[in-house]
Amino acid sequence: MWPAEPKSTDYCRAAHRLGVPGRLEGVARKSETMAAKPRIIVVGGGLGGLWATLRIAEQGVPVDLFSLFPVKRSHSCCAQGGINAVLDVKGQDDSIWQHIVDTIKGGDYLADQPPIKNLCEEAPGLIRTYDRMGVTFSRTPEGIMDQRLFGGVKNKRTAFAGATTGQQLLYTVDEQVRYHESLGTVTKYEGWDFLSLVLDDNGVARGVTAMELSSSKVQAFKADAVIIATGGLALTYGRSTMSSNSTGAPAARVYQQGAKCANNEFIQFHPTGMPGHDKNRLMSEACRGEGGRIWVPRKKGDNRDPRDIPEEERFYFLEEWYPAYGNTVPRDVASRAICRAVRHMGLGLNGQDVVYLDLTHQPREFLERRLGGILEMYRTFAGEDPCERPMKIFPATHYSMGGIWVDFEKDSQTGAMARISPRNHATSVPGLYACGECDFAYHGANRLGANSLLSASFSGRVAGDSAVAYIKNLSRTGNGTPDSAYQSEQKRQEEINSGIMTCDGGENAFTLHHQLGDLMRECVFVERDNEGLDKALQGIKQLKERSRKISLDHKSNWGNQSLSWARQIQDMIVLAEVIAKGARLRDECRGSHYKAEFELKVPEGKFEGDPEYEKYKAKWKANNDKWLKHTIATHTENGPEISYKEVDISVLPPTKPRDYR
Amino acid sequence: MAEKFIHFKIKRQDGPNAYAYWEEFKMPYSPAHNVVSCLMYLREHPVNINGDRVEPVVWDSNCMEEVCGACSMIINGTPRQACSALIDELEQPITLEPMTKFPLIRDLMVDRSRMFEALMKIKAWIPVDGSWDIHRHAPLISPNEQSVRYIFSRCMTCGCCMEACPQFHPDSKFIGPAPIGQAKLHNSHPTGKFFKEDRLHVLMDEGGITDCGNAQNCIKVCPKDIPLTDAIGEIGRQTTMQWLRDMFVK
Amino acid sequence: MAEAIADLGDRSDPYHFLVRRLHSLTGIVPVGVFLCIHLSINASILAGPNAFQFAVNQIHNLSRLGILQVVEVLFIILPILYHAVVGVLIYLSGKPNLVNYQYGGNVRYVLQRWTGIITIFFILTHLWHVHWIIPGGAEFNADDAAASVVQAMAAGWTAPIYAIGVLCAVFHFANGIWTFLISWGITVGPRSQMLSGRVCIIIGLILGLLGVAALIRIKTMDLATMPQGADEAQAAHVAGGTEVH
Repeated sequence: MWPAEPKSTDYCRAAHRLGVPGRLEGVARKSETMAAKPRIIVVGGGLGGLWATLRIAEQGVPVDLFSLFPVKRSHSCCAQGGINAVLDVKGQDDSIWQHIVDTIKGGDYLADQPPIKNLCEEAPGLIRTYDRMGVTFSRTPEGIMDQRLFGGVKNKRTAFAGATTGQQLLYTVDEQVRYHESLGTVTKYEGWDFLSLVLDDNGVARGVTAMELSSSKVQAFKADAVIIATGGLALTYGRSTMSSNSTGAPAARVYQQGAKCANNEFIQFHPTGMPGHDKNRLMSEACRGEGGRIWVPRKKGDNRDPRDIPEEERFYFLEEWYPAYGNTVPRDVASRAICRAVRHMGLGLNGQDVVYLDLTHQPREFLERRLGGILEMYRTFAGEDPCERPMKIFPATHYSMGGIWVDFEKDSQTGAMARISPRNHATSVPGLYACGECDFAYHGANRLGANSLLSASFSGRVAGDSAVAYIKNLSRTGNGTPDSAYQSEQKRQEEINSGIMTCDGGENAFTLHHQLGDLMRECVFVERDNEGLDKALQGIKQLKERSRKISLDHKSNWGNQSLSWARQIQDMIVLAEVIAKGARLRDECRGSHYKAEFELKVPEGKFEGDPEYEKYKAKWKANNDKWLKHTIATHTENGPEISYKEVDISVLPPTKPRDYR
Repeated sequence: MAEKFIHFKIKRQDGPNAYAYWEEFKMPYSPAHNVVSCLMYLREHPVNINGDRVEPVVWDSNCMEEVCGACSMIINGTPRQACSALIDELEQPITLEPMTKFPLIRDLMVDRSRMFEALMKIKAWIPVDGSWDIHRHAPLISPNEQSVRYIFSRCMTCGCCMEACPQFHPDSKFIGPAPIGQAKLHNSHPTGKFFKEDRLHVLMDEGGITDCGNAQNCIKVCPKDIPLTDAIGEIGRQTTMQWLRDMFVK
Repeated sequence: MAEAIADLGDRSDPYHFLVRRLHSLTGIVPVGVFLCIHLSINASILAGPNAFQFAVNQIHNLSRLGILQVVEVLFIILPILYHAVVGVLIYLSGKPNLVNYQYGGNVRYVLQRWTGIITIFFILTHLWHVHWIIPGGAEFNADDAAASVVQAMAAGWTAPIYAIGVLCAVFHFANGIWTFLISWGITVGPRSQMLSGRVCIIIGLILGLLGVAALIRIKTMDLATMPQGADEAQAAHVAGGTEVH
């Protein structure tokens, strides 16, 4: 699956066969022969960052791994469902081609297709590797990995480890990286906040500056390549299903230093989040699959106990609006319907953004058997028993399909991404790579369930290999960059810090975050319209102004959590503007991005050949010609500058509209 | 109806060498709060019970779903995850203290590096030739074995078991319950077994399994109900056998 | 990985495991076994002074063979000394936290340590009391076992001290069996630990009862009615024995 194995590992295999002690010893010897030992910095220790680290370390190149917290606590651990790979072990004649088709169509064609081909083709090998590394995948009776059905596909294709697949995968790669740490190839900087790239005169990334969170000390680090794997940005929406550190700030920082962003307006909203004061925890889709019914009281402001509201006074809007599918409509449809009932019709419980997800009609024994772990989580965090009382849910910001734009090199023979190339996952800043949720590749306009753990792992692996290929081609290593470049960047960052520490503008960084979240959830949410988006852009401008006048309650340098938060909120606002601007300019409906005004409706009862249908098809074609393009955002002093870029649709060009009838 | 409050008593310390002091906070009540969401409110409104604006309380959290292990602290005397500590189920005033067995950074935040170092010591990883596909299935594992392994693999290095263990403290070399659980986990894997002897030798050393005092607090406080005492018993057995092997076979 | 394996060759303290496991083992064999024998012999006084004298003679026959001292040193004094010294080090290595965690296991953890320390003091007291000096001038006389014991135990302080000491030793032993079984990996899971716990409770109760009963019997015996001298006691016992037949 990975024929272009780097040479160093070939040496190691030979070393093993010859009984030479330890392949890494061999690698070390090899690298020492290079003039100055090159290093690579990886920022972010989730699945993507750890895979990149692992790949680089395996090739004997030293890695400095930066993370806000011990890498084992990264947000990847929250992924519950599973990881997609066609193993075809369930007798369903599943095929890799079908996985490719599902991923491309799921993303509404808005993703470059050659890398998707690699993603799906290499998924089985990746899963087998995970299995060898000891992931506790759930098993079939004969002891191989089990696979289950997941949203958006017809075949059982999802490998899973109980209800915490992400955690299990993360821990396993963490362990492998710890092995390399024990050999000294990997150095971890846990508790450090990435602040900026150090760029040389040619705009090439030659290192980073980072701040130690405990002491607020800023330091510059040299490197020959930098990989950024800092995950999602859902905290720009205030509360989301994401961890409290998933601010997207590092992505915003490299964006402001010249890395282009793409497709940021595509944000996946999960229909059934549990609204909370701190975050919106995810309630699995399985609840609807097992008979859960979504409803609100018919009467506005009816605040009786849900159990006292008689059946005829309940509005099961999904069942009424979509009689064919009822409560099991796809994620985006469900999210939009909930928003319509709450926002347009004002039927939210107590006037708030909440509806009921009701399982109480099902026998407790059945629910415990089918949904045990999920219900337990609701009980733990809501303190209520979902077998007794309907759950309270609302759509929640869940995943960012867009992100830092990354390149790929196309293999002209296979039509896929080249196996190893310094161009793969390279950003528009030379020497800077991006992988995981913070890049924009693979998912287009919408992500398939259980494809995120796959793309995080796969892209981390690719980015690691690419960075190594890149430093091999470098004529001048980072050590050749004058120290003054590092010193001046460090100084610039120290000045930003002292500027914030001494500012007395009266704004509270945490309040700003709430207000940003409220604005984004009001105007750049599931349903969008240009009026609302204009309002959002205006609001963001004001927030940006105010974010320059933050006063901190923490006055000392030691353990100053407000300082790093103040910097992060400034960066979140920058990203919010990219999201809102992209959304404002994209006048169409595609995947997760929905503007009712521009919806192309399939004429009812009409099929191919009918003139009315053909007219619709022509409109669809015209829309694709105009909008089947990546949104590219470039940072300027006056906010993002938006341009568009062709999508590589060479693997599966769209020929006719999606039709679920 | 009188306005309801959530009342906190928080043990604070500005730095590792500073004096510790108690500070009280009151915030307006609303349902479904947990300790982290309250701390988030308090960092935005850092006003203590005397009405003084103070530096916000420093603490650690990330996933807020009880899977990342970051937000361990001592809540009303018990070490647990703050994100799953619902206010409605806690007696007030709610006391928050940092864990006492790890070096303190500030307020409720501690440095748990020692746990990660322990994982390195016991080689808590499965040996693989490399992260590439070898075009073969991994060794088979029965569903029963997998379910036991899964339970241990959910250990999130939160440190609650270490906090409650009377044998683990800054002056002791005891490795603590969580790493012993991980040693059991990795020794039970068909390939992980290749390092079994190494792991057992580490655990037969000073600070290893023999330093366990069988107080069994670990299993009582584990937020993930990991049967740590099973692991301690199992490693006890494995080290006994290893000891015999070392004596009579080598 | 080969390098990493090699690292483990030099373990910081290769004897640590041996020291700790021997500590665990000596608590059961021979010290625990000795405790059982000792308490059984004491309990024989429940069957009368002659039975007691007979039991004592069984042991002191070893003296006639010339190996009693060897047995005492090798199987009693040295193991107890070893168990005590290592035990104190273990005691010092822990930081009990019963105030915060009042779980059964934690209570036993603390009791195990306290009873261990108390037992050390008790053994010293006991040795001093019956083997070297007797307040009031008497000394344990193996040839006049019952009477000398009763006389030695006449002082008022002995009742509470011996009761506490014996019970601590018994608890330490019974709970020690339970932890021994875990430490050596004999009882691994919760069910086996629960079952072994019950067995240990029964052992503890039996030994505790024997110890206390013997103590009460000694305290309630009348010195005047007791046989004098070993031969007489031996004869009485033999006579009593034949009477049964």
